[in-house]
Amino acid sequence: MLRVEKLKLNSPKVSIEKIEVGSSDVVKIEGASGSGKSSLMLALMGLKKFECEVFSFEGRPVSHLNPEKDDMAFISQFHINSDDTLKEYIQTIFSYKKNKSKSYTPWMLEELHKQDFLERAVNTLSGGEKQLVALSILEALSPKLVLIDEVFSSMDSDTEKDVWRVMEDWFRKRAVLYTAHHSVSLDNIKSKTIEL
Amino acid sequence: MKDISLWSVFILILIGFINSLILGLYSKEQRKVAALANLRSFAQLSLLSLVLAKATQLDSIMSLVIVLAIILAFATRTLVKRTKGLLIGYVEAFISIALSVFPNIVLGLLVIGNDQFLRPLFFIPFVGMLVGNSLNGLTLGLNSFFESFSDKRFSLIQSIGFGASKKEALFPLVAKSLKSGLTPILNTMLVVGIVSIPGMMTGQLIAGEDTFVAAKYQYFILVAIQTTILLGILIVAFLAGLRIKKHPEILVGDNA
Repeated sequence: MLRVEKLKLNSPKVSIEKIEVGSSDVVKIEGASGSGKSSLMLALMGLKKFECEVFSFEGRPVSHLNPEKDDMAFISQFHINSDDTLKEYIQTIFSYKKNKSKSYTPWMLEELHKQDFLERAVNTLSGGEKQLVALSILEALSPKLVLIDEVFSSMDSDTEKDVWRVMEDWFRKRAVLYTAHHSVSLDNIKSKTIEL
Repeated sequence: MKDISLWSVFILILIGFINSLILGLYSKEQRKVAALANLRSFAQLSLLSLVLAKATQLDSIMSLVIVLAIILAFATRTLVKRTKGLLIGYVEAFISIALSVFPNIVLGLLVIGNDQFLRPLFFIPFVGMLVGNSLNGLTLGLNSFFESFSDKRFSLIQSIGFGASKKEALFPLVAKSLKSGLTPILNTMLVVGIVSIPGMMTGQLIAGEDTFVAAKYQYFILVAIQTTILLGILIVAFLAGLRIKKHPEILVGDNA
């Protein structure tokens, strides 16, 4: 699904021989703080300059991943952020041209007894709550490939277990490239690790 | 009209300085600004009177275009300085001001007619008033746009991550900056004639013009200012969008 070879970033210095993510692979990018994990994710999204010899998505050569056009999505480590209520924020996400044919049902929030989040301003949610919400949006967007950067980092272990309980099957059915210092959940099903 | 003596002007300057001294009791920085504002405003207005006195000799279109270019150049410099030019440089600022003023000049030619509109003593004050008043709104709007861009760049990245086009991701920022930029002129338009009598109409009334004619001219300048601010912000947002499309790494800044 995703294939990148001989990728180089200048700032910070990152050099990777090969990233290969198959349609149901879960691949972890591992490295110490400051090793360039987030920069690598941003580079794959075309938001940082990089060089590489091969970059292809679903067999097509591309210059970088593009969530607007490609069947993929990305959750950054910097959390969702908006002055709107969560309900309004979600309406905005699903009003984008790419997402118009999809719809959001808050089943995951209901399952986790968090449906009251919908009426709250996004900026009043904690970091872990925002990550939970971002995952529930990702679930509804249902892309073939997901890039997730430290998405469980602000969640307490109980919340992570709860989220994992409702999303494990979902994660097992798609291509995932993730970074995490430690993520008990995704680490359980990872099929490959790339060291930085 | 009765002249104001130079002694009276001196007293006015003195009052301005007393105001700045009083302000200085609360803020030393503002005292300097107020003192400078008093001196500069008189010096600049005197200079303008000399320029306008010679303006009747500017009988060619080219000379008006040169005056227009000078006004736009100063406005560009002010805009870039006041907004700290995060996403736009001098070229983009000049293009946005010029393109937002241009339709109003065409409108002026159509509504007022070229024989009056292109008279230097009408054209120069009109453009000056239009650009000067629009600059405040443009500065407010663009500052809001650039500040939101800095504060919410990670939110923009996340919107893109969820499938937004650059245009869709920037939409809330543009909406907010239009609100910030246009609120002052819209508020003015809501109370004009009830709470305030603005400058152009006052000038015409003092000069003995028909009251309804003065009202129509004032309405024209208000709509022209509104149009300039609206177009200026939209053009800057469009140019900023093009820049982000060409250099998407701007979105990340120095934080990744």
